Amino acid sequence: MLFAVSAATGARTVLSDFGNAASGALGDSPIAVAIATNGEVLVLTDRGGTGDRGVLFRINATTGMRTALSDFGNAAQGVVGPSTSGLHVSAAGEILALDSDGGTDGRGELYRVHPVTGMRTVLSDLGNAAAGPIGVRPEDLTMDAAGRGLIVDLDIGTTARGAVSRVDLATGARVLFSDFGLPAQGALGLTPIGITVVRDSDAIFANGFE
Amino acid sequence: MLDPDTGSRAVLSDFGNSALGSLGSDPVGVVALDPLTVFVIDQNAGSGQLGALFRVDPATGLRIVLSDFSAAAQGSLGAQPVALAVESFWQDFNRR
Repeated sequence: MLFAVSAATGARTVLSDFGNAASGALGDSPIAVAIATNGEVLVLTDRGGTGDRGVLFRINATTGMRTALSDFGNAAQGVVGPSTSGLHVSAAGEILALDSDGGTDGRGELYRVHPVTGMRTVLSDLGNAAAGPIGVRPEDLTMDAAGRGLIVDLDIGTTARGAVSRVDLATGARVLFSDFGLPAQGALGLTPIGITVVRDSDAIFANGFE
Repeated sequence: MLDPDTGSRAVLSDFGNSALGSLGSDPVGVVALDPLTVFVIDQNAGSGQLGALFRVDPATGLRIVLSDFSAAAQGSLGAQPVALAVESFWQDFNRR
């Protein structure tokens, strides 16, 4: 279910019911949402689509009508992904999606998704140690002011407390940016799961379960 | 909050500290519309543990429940909301 929530009152209305075929292609287990630069809502589902591998939907923000943009089980649209998890739209309209179990050894994979064709291109294989620290449970992503990807992973870093990796989107190279088990970088964290960048200040917020 | 240059961290709001507002349970998503407005979605918070949307003041860490997904008075009930986005994000951005 996709809700619209009033920022003033907190009142909720159902924008799109993924089990209602009258609103378009059915979805299953929506897990991430972002706003496209044209105002459409993008929702990534963890299940549904070919082979139950997840689907990226475009949703009309007024009517709630859904259109499948990228079927992560459809090899004709690029690399097949086993378990989608994160979604981000850049100021330039670039769509990034994360698969927590894709890539080498199922360590995760970062994709660019074409906004019209839904074609997926691999930007970074999180199982490729030659490109930087390997992933364990990558769950969310955003982009910093310099256009680099930021991926939050629940279980990497010192004593597996979680970390944020920074990704060069041109080369796929990754570096450990903030290690939540490293006291030298501030208060310890545990299982960080969400991340966002403040548009005007470039400050970064991450949150976690504990 | 993470320093964008160094990655160093500072705690902005402890969701287990009731002095800062309603308690959280499993905060799973965060969006910052601007430096003064941070929203956090929690999949098990709220009056009936069906989830809640918090608004957090980044300056103080104080939290309020903006939408309690267990409260029928605020609309259709939810069940473990996991993600959020702000609709006006690019509208505001494109006006700048």
